Order: sequence, then structure tokens, then C-alpha cells
Amino acid sequence: MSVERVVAVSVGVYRRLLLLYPASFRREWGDEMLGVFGDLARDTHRTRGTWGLARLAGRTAVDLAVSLPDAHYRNGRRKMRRLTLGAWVVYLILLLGGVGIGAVGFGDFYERPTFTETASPDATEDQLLGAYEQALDGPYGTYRTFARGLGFAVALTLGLSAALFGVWQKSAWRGAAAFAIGALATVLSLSALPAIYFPFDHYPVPAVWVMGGPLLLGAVCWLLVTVAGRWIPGSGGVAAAT
Amino acid sequence: MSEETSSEETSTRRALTISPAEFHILLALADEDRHGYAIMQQVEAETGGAVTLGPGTLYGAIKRLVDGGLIRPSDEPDPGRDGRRKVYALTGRGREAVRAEAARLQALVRLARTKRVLEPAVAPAPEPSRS
Repeated sequence: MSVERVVAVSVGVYRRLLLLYPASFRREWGDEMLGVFGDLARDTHRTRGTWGLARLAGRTAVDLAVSLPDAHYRNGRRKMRRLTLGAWVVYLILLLGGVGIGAVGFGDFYERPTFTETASPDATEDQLLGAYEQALDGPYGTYRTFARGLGFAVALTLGLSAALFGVWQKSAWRGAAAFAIGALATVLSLSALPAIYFPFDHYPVPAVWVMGGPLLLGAVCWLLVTVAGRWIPGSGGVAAAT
Repeated sequence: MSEETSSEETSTRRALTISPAEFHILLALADEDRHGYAIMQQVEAETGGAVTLGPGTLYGAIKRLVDGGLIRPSDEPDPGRDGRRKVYALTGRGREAVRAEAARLQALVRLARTKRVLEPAVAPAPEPSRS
């Protein structure tokens, strides 16, 4: 078998092995890798013969075993970045939208639920429970379901965002930092609900500014989370060892 | 703390993010722009065959170095056989990074010598006196 034929077969096999790399990596570097492998196979066959090519096959198998997981991991990190960004956006929309709807729709219940007003000061426990159960069938029950659902959804999205951020950053510390900042944003925003309702009722224009508070807070938190990696040792740089 | 020591420590911290494969590639490009296969051959020659980079490892590292702004595809065409191969060149940032990594390794060798893990460096022979 001629040298060119041997090299062509080797390159053909290597071209198929390149399919194991992530598509984006292959598109960017596949042609160059194929060219380098072709040169390597040609020179190896010329200087060391068939046995040299057999050794090259062994070395290439080791090279694939080392570089494939690395390429897939780094490719996965890029996807993880987009997922993390998406999860944080969903979290902020949920938080801001939930706070807005809650303030407009259920403002009454942030100060004092109506069933507590109707009960007289000397009412018995049974009477209070009865009033409470009756209130659950009305708007108060709807508010309670809404508040529980919102709290659950916000907490779930926050946890998911923090976990994705931690995996993306390959650091539990940064995931924890993101979670802490997000939790702070959640608590501050939800506790601002009564302050949002009353201005809405009496002073609509200032209320718009108040409603902008969570948005501004969210933007600040996002900025802090984005740059958090720069504050924590061991961040960034070119790469880990191969 | 002296200014020199502080500067060395800063360089050391900066250098810690370069992997051995990346360091060898940066070294191979320190004196000349090269294409992928030439980098591979240069690394093998400079290390006496101790370090051989396969195409996957080589281009994985090249991608990270390009993304990190330490090397860049050169504007000069490849003077080799087909002229289609992409030639890579060290950037200013890359030169700084390879210098910092070399300084870090030098500091480690100095430490190893003070602890007698390595033999002391051979001092240059004194010039013969003309009497």
C-alpha cells in the first residue's frame, strides 16, 4: 500500500473520529486538526514506517480520551451560561410580576386580612377559626393561594438559578453567593409589598417609582452576581490543566 | 515587602492559570509565528520528546489561548507547503503571561535550590587574570 493511500485511510478514520467532538468545536477547528493529523501521519509513515503509524494510532487514542471530555465540558459550560442567564431572567420577571400583581390585586391583605376586622375582640377561638375558614372561601383564600404559589415559584427559580450559576462557575462558593444575593433580593422585594400598595392607591405617580425599586434592586443584584467571580479567588483565566 | 517581590508575586498569581500544554505552546511561539503542526513539532523538539501534543490537545489549548487573547491568528501567510494553514502569533498579553509563568517556575527552582532539593547553580568560571 502506497504512503498516500495509508495516509488517506488514516485521515479518513480520523475525520470520522472528529465527529465525537462538539459540533461548534469541530466547525471551528476540525479542518485544521485534520490537516495537522494528515501531516503527522505522512511524516510518521515516512520516518518510522508502519510501526510508527501503529504507535501514532495509540497516541491519537490517548489524545482523544484526554481532549474529548475537556471539549465537551467547555462546550457544556457555554450552554450552562445561557441557561443560567435565562433562569435569572425568569426569576426577576417572576419576582417583579408577582410583586406587581400582588400589590394591585391583593393589597388589602398585606396590612390586615378582613376576617380579623369582623371578629370582635372577645371572640372565642372557635369563632375566630370559623371566621378564618369562611375567609378562605373568599378573596383572602385566593390571596393565600397566590402568595404561596408565588413564594414557591420564586424560591424554586432562585434555587435553580443559583445551582446553574454554581455549576457554570464550577464553584459552590459562587453558587452560594448568588443564592444569598438572590435571597436578599427576594426578601427585600416581598417585604416591600405594603409600601407599594398604599402609594398605588393614593399617589399613582410616586408608586411607579416605588415599583421601579425591585427592578433596580434586581439589576444591582445581577451586576453583583456577574462580577462576583472577580472577587473570589481562583476565578477565570485561560484554562485548567489539560 | 519590596517592590520587586510584590511584582513577582503578582506575576506568579497571573501565571497560575496557564496549563503546561498552554505554556509549551506559548514558548513555541515566543521566537517565531508558527502553524499548528509546527507548534507540535517545536514542542516535541524543545522537550526532547518528553511532551507530545496530539491534535485534540493542541487545538483545545489553542482555542483557550485564542479565547483568552494570549495568541492570535497571524496576518502573515504560511510560507509552508500549501499556504492554507493558519499561522499563530503571540500577543502582548501572551508574552506577558509566558514571562510570568517562566518567572514562577524560576522562583520554584530557586526555592528547590535553597532547600537542597536541586544542586546549586554552577557559577560562571572567573576570567583568568592577566599578570
